[in-house]
Amino acid sequence: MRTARLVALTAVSLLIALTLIARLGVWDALFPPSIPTFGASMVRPFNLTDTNGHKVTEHDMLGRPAVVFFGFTYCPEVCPTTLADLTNWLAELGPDADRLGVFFVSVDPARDTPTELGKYLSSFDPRIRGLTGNAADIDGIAKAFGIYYQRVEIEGGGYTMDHTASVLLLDSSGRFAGTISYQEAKEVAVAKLKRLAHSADGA
Amino acid sequence: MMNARTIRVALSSAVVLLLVNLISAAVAHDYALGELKIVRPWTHATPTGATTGVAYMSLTNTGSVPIRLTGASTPAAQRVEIHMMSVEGGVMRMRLVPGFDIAPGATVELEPGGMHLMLVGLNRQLHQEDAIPLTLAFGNGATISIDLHVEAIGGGPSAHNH
Repeated sequence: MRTARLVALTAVSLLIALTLIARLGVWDALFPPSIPTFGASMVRPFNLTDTNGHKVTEHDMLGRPAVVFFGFTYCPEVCPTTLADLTNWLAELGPDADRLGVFFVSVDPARDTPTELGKYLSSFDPRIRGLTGNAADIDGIAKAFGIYYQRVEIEGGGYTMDHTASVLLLDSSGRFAGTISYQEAKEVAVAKLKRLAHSADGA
Repeated sequence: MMNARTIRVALSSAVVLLLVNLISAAVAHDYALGELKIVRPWTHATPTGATTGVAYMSLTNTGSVPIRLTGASTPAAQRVEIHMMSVEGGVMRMRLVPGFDIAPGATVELEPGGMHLMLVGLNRQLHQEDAIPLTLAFGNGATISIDLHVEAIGGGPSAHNH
């Protein structure tokens, strides 16, 4: 019958659409991570672990402006480049750098144990604090910060991670204060960090 | 007092000197395999314990038939993958590709923010100024061994130029 065919066709189309959405990250493509609002509170309660095995919660990210970057140690380019940039920017800032809390949050906690993360970060400015945790906690902080990340299987074994490549800037109350883009010019990045470092001056 | 002619001579000498320096710096890291020119292969130094690295270079086909890069290998890593990478809307995405063609007359840039070779399963840390051997394999069966010049973490020849 005509109606039966239509119903079957609709069902199959729906099934295909749902599969595409679920399997191929179409959902993320259709609904990219929301653009944060300046002044909006970003920090939600979280429980993570630093590279010394110490517990880190949202309170460690509040009280002074924070610079937060999400990445993973198996990352060939964006993460080491951004961590090297951060290292250079902090050096350029001089004493102002000590007014900032700087965090590198792993989006690949399965491979980035505190020890591995600590080894990796030893190549960069020691003020960059590495955070990792269980998958649910990482997901929580990434969502709160509007960070996109997605595991991508590699043919022949292994996987890599797609992820937001921008550095997030938060004021001392955990409110969104801007971003630094991947490969942003050094002068621009340092000016943003300087402004951020002094954002709590009037308070 | 210098007259206009002296200034002109001085300026053009400076330009010639600059060009000579640039050319010799470039030639030092360049290779040729038949009609293919491989210019300035390089990589980043890696952080302690890092298991992945990258390789960048510029590939120019000066011939009249397409050249296909099909793979690469290095004693410094388990395997080498060819990756397309993009940063769009603030999100970095990376995909494995089986190879790519270089059309006659075309240049393909493997560079930060774009396509690269990924060294997977590094068995050593890459230190600045090291030379890392890499073998490129092409569709016609040809291979060439080149050295990747190791630049600072996050640095690189492109950073010097900008």
